[in-house]
Amino acid sequence: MFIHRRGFLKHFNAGYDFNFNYNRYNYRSNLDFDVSESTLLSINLGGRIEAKNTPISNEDQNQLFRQLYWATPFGGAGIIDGNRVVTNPEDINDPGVDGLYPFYGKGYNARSTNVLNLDLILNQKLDFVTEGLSFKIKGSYNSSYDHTKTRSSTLPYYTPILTGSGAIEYRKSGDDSQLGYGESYGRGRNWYAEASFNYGRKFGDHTIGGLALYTQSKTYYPKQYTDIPSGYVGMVGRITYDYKTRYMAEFNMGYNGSENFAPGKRYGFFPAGSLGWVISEEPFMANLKNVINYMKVRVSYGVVGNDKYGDSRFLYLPDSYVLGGSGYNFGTNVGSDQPGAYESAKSNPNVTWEKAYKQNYGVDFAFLRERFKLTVDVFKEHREDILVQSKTVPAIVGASLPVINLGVVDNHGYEFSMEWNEQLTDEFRYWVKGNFSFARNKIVEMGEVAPNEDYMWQTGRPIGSRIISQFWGFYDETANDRYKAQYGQDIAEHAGGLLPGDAVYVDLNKDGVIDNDDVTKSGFTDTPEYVVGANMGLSWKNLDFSMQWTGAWNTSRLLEETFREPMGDTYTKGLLLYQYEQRWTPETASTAKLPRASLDHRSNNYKSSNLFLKDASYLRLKNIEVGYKLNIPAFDTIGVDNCRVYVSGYNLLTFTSFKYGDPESRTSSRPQYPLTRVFNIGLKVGF
Amino acid sequence: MKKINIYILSFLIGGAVWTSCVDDIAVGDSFLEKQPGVDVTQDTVFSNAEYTRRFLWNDYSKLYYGLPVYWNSIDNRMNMGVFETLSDCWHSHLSWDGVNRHYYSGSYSAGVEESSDATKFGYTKEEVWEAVRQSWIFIENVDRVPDMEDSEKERLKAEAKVIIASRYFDLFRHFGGLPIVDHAFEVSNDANAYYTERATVDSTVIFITNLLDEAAADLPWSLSAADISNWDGRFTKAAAMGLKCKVLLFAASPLFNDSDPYSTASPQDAVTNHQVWYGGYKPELWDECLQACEEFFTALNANGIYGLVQAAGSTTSDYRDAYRKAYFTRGSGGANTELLISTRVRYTYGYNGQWNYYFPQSCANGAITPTQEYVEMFPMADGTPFDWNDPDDVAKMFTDRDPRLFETILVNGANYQGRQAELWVGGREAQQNPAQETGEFATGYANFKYILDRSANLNQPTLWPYLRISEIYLIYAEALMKKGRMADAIAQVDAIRARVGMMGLVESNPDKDMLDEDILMEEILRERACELGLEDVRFFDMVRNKRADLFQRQLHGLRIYRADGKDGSWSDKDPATRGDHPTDFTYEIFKLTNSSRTWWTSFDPKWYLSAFPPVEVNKGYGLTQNPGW
Repeated sequence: MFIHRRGFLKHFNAGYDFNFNYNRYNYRSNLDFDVSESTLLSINLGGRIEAKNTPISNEDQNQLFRQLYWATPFGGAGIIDGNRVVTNPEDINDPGVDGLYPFYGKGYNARSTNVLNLDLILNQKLDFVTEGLSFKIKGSYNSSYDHTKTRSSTLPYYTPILTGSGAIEYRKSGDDSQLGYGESYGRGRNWYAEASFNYGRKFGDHTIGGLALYTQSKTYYPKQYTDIPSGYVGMVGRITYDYKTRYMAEFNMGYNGSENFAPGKRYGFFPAGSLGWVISEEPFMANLKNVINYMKVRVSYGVVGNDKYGDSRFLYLPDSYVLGGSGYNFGTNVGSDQPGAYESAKSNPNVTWEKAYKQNYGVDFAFLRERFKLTVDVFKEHREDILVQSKTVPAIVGASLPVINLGVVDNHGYEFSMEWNEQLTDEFRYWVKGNFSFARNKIVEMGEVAPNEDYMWQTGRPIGSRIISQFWGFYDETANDRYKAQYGQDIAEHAGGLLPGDAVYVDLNKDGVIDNDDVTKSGFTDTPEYVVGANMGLSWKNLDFSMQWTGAWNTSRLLEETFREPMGDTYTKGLLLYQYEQRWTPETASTAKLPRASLDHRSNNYKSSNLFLKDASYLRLKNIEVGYKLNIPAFDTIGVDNCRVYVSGYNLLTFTSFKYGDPESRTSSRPQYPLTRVFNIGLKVGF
Repeated sequence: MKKINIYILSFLIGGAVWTSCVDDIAVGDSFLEKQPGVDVTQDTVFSNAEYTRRFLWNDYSKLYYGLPVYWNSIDNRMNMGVFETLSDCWHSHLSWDGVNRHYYSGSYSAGVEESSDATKFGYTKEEVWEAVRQSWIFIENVDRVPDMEDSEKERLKAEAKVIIASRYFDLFRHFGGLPIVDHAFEVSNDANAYYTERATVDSTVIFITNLLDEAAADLPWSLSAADISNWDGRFTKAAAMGLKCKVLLFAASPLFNDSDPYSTASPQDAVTNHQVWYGGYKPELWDECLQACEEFFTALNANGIYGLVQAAGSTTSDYRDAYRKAYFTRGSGGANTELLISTRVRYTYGYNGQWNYYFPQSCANGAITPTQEYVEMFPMADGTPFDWNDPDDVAKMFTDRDPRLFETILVNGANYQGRQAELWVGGREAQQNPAQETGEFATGYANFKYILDRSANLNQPTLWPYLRISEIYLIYAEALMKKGRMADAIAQVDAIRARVGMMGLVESNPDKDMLDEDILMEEILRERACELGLEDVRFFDMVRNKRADLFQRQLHGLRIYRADGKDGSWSDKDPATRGDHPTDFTYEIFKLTNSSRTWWTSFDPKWYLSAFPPVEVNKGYGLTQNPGW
């Protein structure tokens, strides 16, 4: 398979192509060998080769889109006669920067990546020992290598100057440089091995299955202790039983070891069990079989573990020190620093597995000749011993603290999915599938230090809750009376004072001053609580049609940086249209959504509050595709099996009140490559 | 076909076996044991003299550096700004530094100490406690190093003690009494193991000065001449003794040493517990300060080596060179006899836009703009006070002044990059900055200290002048004055003035009674501001003397206009048509209004000290919040 994508930048006259560019080739080959009648050897070889070009931008790659938003319309005239012309600050004071500034003429990075996966699987039937027993070993090996060429450069820019005679001359700043050359490499390698016995056999109405598995894996070049590969070992045992495919039971256990924990704390035991009852198979349901074709009730309960704390490793080892880090530039004329050494993180010999206890209850139905299917699941999860760094240790200890098993988080939710699928005639079929899910979590324990006010706790709220100021309204002559009518006291003292059009916040602790204690939870987190998806389509003769919708709600985004503060923190960055249109003025006082336009009181007006917290619910038509199968007699003669032409569109329609970016991605102060609308016209030929 | 497959098969299996042979084959538990690698523990460090020294050198890197130079939470100080711009000598026109965001706007509250790392000196963010811990680990372990002489161990321990003392003093000036951490904590599950009640001002000062006394006993007076080129920057006995004077001056000043506490705002726990004052006026504190100064000068007379850097001749340029050398150059006790403590973050920087030494950009962004009030503090070249109402003084104000003015502030017409600086409205440097009150020249002046003319600063070894002997002279003067020894006090100030060619206080101010303590005190403070500009002195002078009057005063800038009938820049214009270099100007003193300070209209004494982050107070280890926060 081959994919090619080009980005959206023009390269004007830079002399080389720095646009986003992406090519990928995938390959895969699966070979099965029947070595003997009872022995199967499979070899799967796959990989991909990628080539990716990205423009070099100011500071780092994450800054490109951030800085594009900083551009002002009068920052520069663009490219004139092949040269980038910027505004002369003598004509416009502090003009800011033009849109070319973040990337134009800075060169590009070209990265090529080569990834190889190899799997070897040997399956040996052991029916000669007992019927239904088999033995399997599997080894897989993955390696990747990437090579980045950094071609950096500079281009001069030109500032127009009005000469005495009224002509315009250009002052050149900076130099043309040849594309520089630098290179860097990345590498990755890991292997995985497993050995297992599998057993499965039917005794009349009873079916019994069993599995015993041992796994071991190694990953090279981890971030911490790069020289020491990271490893895992695990054992899994499973017993399954079913009776007449009516009653089912399964019991699983995992026994895993992690290098992160000390001997004695190293292994975690993770059992799980489930029961199922296919009620529709019961004789008493036979009468209803035409209506309820299938009905199953499921219950499961299990424990899973986590041993990861960021990239930290060997959390139990004695406190480590580092030879390196900052040294010191002693002397009067010594260019190099004396080398340093320092104490690194403290450790905790008692640290062990974090555990999540999961319960799941579900029913599956099929109705009306299996045309309508419904699945409902309810889940509950309790995570405990979550690995965290203590927050309660005083700063005067001055050490970077060990990881401890402390956190507790509860999570619950449900999920429905439905499907209607009908073949009306030989030539016409249509289907609609939908799913709907809800999940909500709550921090029960995170070792939080008691805040000054109870409403400030993170504990007891979902992970990622925003504890921010509560916006009340904009200040004007009548504001104090209105506030007093609502809260029974005057508007609290706001730092720097209030003028008409300034943001007024609610004095939550009623102490007469707005400060960092007047913050509480607002809105939802970045993760939506409700997610829906729908997929529908039909096929009629040679024509087919499908589309896919997704949606989410109960999620919020907090606007940051340029999206929040008009002209940014330096007063010279971009001014977005809504910031102008929605600002408070005496005339628009009743409809204004943003504070007055002023450089004063910005600390007050643009602080994190629910004024800038935006609902990011959305409904989106993600994909739509229409296809037609061509059937030309001549195909047979040239060996074409099938041939289909299609038109598809991606990201076509979005209904949302969130207009500041893509509601599906997280906002941040470092926006990424924008979501694009893609149209494809395709031809697929099979031989 | 089948044959080919078998070849492929054997090749692949062969490859797989080969790769797995690279590692030792281990299964189960032994697979998880950490393989031997570069594992460094405390024992590794303290079993080797070189590693032990390195541990201390890293500790040195945690010392205070007063200039914003780098984008991390410590080295960017107040997000490119500095707290000296809270004083009346400098103002920040950098809208997004911590000075503007949290202080000028008045939005600072205790919670900001948690949410921002751009407050003036964060209790938890300045690596003070990390330095203290590292020093104690060093002191507690260095004795077991096998291959190090005892004498070196004692000396290095003494250096670690000065690090603790200086870091405590850095915090003490912003917070008052502190928890006394006199050992490296073991990490424990027991919260009581950390319980360390906040100490009184008295105990904190004793803790600091005891460390300095102990250190002074084991440190060499100065580095040997041979050691200076490689080891300049290490603490000496002179450094420890000098720092003690500075600590005791701050402690004895009215902020802590007065009949009333500086603030009556709630919570008052810290006041009741004497954590933010001595509980009353204690004249003996001035005796202690005086005694420390006398011990310093006695030792100085006995050991020599150090002293004020004196000018080679008697021209303005000679005086400027001497002054510049005293604060700008390395070689304490060698090339620079005046510097007692210098801290460092790097060697040199090669251009003014350097990202990892960005102080010149900080200035260019307007983070440090000198006020008209400050400029007027500098006397005329002979030492007589500058008077704005005297047309003769005004005519000579940028030519015939205290040489330190030109070393501290870039003024109109000063030599600059081989020509004359154009700070008038429309001038080549200032452009429209003074007219619009924005940017580096917002006040009609610009900073000169450390960055010089933006050319002589390049490729010079960098440093932060943490302590200079000229400051000890002025501390000594203040202590003498407090004890009524006016003539002796004046003599110390005069020594500083003589170094830049100015007459003494009495000769320069015939109309003032220098024997009056209030008048002399004002002169000492003014002299400190002129001598020690941008060395973290003025803000603390205003704080320790509870000078609400100065914090409240409206500050000004100066707009300079060409009076030769032309406007715009001169030096970059065509020599054939630009005419003579402009010499006639009109001046307009204007109120600073961009980024005005709420303190000008509503100052409260609670601002003298910072707030602790509420989370630290709420951890319950005995920390009390400062009054008003």
